[in-house]
Amino acid sequence: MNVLGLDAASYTRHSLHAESCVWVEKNCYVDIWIELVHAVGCEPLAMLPFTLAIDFEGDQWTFFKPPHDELRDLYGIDCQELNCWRPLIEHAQEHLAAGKVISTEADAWWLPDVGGTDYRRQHTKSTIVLADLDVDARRLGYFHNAGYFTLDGEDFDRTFRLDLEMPFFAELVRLDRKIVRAPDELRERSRALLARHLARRPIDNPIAKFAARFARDLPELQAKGLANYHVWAFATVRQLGAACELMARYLEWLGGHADAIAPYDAISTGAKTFILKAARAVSSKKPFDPSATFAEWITAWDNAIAALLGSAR
Amino acid sequence: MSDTAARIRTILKEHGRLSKDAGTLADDADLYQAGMTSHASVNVMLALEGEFDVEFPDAMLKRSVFESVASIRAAIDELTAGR
Repeated sequence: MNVLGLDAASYTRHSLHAESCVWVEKNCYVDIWIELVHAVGCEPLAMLPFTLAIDFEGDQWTFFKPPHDELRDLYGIDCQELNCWRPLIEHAQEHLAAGKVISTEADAWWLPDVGGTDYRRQHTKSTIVLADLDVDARRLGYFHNAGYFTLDGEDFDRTFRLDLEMPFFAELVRLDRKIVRAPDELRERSRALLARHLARRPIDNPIAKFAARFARDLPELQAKGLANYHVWAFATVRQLGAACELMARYLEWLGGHADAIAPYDAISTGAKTFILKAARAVSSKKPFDPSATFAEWITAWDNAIAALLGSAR
Repeated sequence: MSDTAARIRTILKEHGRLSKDAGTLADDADLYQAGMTSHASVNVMLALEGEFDVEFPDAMLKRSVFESVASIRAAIDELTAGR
């Protein structure tokens, strides 16, 4: 049941996941959608306007996800919650055989593609897409993070939680009404999404809110140490940096937004540096005052939004 | 192999979580391709600063500086020149 006819050994990632990116991996959910849309022959760059509306939510930045209605409008891809009333593997057999794929939460402990972090080391909730299933061989082809991989054996059993009754949350993705639009039509539709998300941008500059919170949280981050810092950084700085990089690459694809691309890239690359500097501060417990960096980002954010608003008039 | 390169490889073994042996990787081999994650690169950076008693300036705190043994060594050599 190889729904998309993919081979993990020869799979070619989308350029949004190239090693040259500042943030190769963004968040697990948007990463799988970038690759799934790419793998079915559509252009994932078109779906990215939602990334401009991320906000700071106090203990995290928006865990940004593509709205399902926009996936349907752009690509004809339909995504609904899967009612897991029986074991997930039985649902997978049913739906993959019918040409559908399944997005499901998974425990990264059993995902061999993350050998450098969680695999057999740490229980972490992630999201994968089931795209190729061989029950007899206990082998699965799946999208995760920036690529397409296979797993088997015990990893297969535990990913499908064959010994447990309660499944993870899962979604059913139908591809039978997929539309591969001409580039000009796709840009036109995407431009409308850009206007929609620009209208729902944060009311206040979210980086200013983040800066104030960081100043309050730094002592606690230093007290809790590096392991806590890594998960904090993923929920905060990585989401901000990755979203801004996606906006920059999106606007390049759309064309004509150089005055917004530069500030988004400045925040994205600055966030990468910030993650390392803040790690140093947490590790050494020395004072760390990033107010000048935050001031630059606040201005960059305002400039990017002003440029987009100016273009929209 | 230079002493600096050997010390870098020891740190990569301890903190890089590479899928390949850091001791036999080519100097210019891409460490991210070899399995080093962003998460691991943070720990590598901190360990390098401790080992060589340096502090990477902001301009060096970017992905490309930590992408190979050679690029790390170039950065360390620059920071320790004249000692």
